[in-house]
Amino acid sequence: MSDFFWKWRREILFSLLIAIALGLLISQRKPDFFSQSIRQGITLVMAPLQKISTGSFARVRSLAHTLSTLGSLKSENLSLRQQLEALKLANLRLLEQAQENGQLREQLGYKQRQKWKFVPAEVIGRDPASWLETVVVNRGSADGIRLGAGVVTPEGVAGRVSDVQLYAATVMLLSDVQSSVATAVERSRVPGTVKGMGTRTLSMVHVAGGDDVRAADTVVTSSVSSIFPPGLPVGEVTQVASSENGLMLSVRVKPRVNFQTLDHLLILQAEE
Amino acid sequence: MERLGIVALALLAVVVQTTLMPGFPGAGALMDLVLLLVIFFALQRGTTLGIWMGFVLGLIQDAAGGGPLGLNAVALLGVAYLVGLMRARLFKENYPAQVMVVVALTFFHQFLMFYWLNTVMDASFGIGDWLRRALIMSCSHALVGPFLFHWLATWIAGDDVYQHLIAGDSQSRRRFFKRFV
Repeated sequence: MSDFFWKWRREILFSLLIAIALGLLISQRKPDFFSQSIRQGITLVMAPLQKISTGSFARVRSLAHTLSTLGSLKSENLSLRQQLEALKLANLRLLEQAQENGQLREQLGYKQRQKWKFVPAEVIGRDPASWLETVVVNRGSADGIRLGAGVVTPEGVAGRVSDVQLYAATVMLLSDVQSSVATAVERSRVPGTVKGMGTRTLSMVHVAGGDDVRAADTVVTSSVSSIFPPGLPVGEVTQVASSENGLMLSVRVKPRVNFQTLDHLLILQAEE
Repeated sequence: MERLGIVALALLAVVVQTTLMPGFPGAGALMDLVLLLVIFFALQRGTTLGIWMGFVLGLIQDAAGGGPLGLNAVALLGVAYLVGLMRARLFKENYPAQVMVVVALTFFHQFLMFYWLNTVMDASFGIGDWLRRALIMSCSHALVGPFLFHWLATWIAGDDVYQHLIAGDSQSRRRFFKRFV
């Protein structure tokens, strides 16, 4: 008996480990306590190491950038100050309008819009396989992050939280093949769903053949979306083509966010 | 001490793969350091170590990169086991043989990723996606792999390369360098 095990020890070990790995992979459709505990345990150990590595790399990159732009710092500083003053004024006007909008909605008996707050997060890891478009951030359930929360950057929509651990969370980027978000064309209000293609281009689907969509149109989040506030920029239409039977439009969208260089994100949280 | 070195090196490879490589656009799709490490240790130190490394590093890679848990583990386990099957028939120190092995195993690894993503995770990648990724990655692995293997064999594993270079005589050293010329 022992001879049998000794002779086939590698095959037995391989079969055992492959069964565990496959079991874990299959359970990812609906993660259970066991797989979540393994992920949590690994993340607890790896997250600090990843943070050190990402932080060091960011510092080196920042130093290189500072050295290369040393000459133009003074003029850049002046220009940024001017921009800041202009943005302060614009912000004041927007706040005033938002207040007025709220009052009018109340007078008309409209339901008040959901208020959102942003939790800043830092990217500490990325999917190494390059098949999936996911990043790991340094915020988790301990910071109030919930599964499915929307994730944005100042440029626009970035993705959504697909997994939450205690001190880290996984964000599925908009470019992932499994990602989709309810959107609308800003100019004509034509609705559609923007889906990831695993590349740097997104696809807008469920757009009817006769709908008014043109190249260079801005695509924004729709009011139908429950995880994003309406009107957040998603990208620009780059190509519009009619399907063979002419019933649907095939729309290509260039995302606003550069997914390759993401390092800081904002996670949306609905205010109670 | 050597085991500690292997563990440290393996963790470093995962950290670099999940943090630094994606910092350079396209680099993540260009090279998989963990895969190269698993191939090397499975070739040099046997199937059992390769299988364990594939399983553990695969799980760490999945969790640290935010991918589905088990995906990299399944792919790396498959690679380690395949290396074990052909290990005895391979002339491990031969440069062209190493290139061929690395290219074939990269294609196999990428195929396993493609297959399991499509079957278990309901992804819809095409054969073209697999071929494109495997081709790009195998080219860079073919260039870097043998040099990395040589460095690992010399400094980490301390196998016969050590005996040729440090403990061996001048004839042994000459024989060793002839492999690369």
